[in-house]
Amino acid sequence: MAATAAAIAMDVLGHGLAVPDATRLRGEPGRPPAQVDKAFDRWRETLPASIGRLRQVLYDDEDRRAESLAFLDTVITAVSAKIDAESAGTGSTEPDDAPTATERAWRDERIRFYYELLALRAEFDPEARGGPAFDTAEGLESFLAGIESN
Amino acid sequence: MAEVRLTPKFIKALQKLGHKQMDRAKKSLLQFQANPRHPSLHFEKLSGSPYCTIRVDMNHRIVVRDEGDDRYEMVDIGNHDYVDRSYG
Repeated sequence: MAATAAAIAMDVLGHGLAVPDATRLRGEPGRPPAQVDKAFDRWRETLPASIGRLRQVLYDDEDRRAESLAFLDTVITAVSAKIDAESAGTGSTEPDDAPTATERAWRDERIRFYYELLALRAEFDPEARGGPAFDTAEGLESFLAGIESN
Repeated sequence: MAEVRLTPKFIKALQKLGHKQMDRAKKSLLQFQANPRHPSLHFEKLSGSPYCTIRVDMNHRIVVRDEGDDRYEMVDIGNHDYVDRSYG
């Protein structure tokens, strides 16, 4: 079971980190656009299944769950850092350097992946359950008014 | 009017935001409570789970768990937003 968890975790890691990012695509002018689009489509199509497999392993493998969740935390941090790096690499305002539609779509898919992982992590976090509930605007607004930055 | 629950994890994430971001997050929450599918929230359902995300600003989104019957739990805040995807 542990091997399965590790394999799927690596698969998920690969989805978030090993696929070519926008800046790398930019540095491969010889790479045919159709090949880039095909890789992107494959990544997008297989992502839900990968997340689903990882979720199932986390539910099934209770003995190694804490270890797997700690690894998941490192993946989330790494994916977030990759998004930041990619944004910096495509943040130029020069017309020639403006990100292409494929690059923007690729970055958005990575962001979706990041949120899929945050949701998955929350599913196993007891702190992400419970708390005060509000069904009136006045109640919610009053509670929020009492929350300040740390 | 939806029922909005603020989990401890979400409240901690909210407290880590700067003042401007926190104000925007609070506005998004109130908007979400009034109308979870308001266009300004750029609601997005995540795949194969009861989770979705809503927009705070160009750098943050709130992760929401749909509990059914118009009840939602706010579970986390992420520090990225999409460039130009369509939502649904």
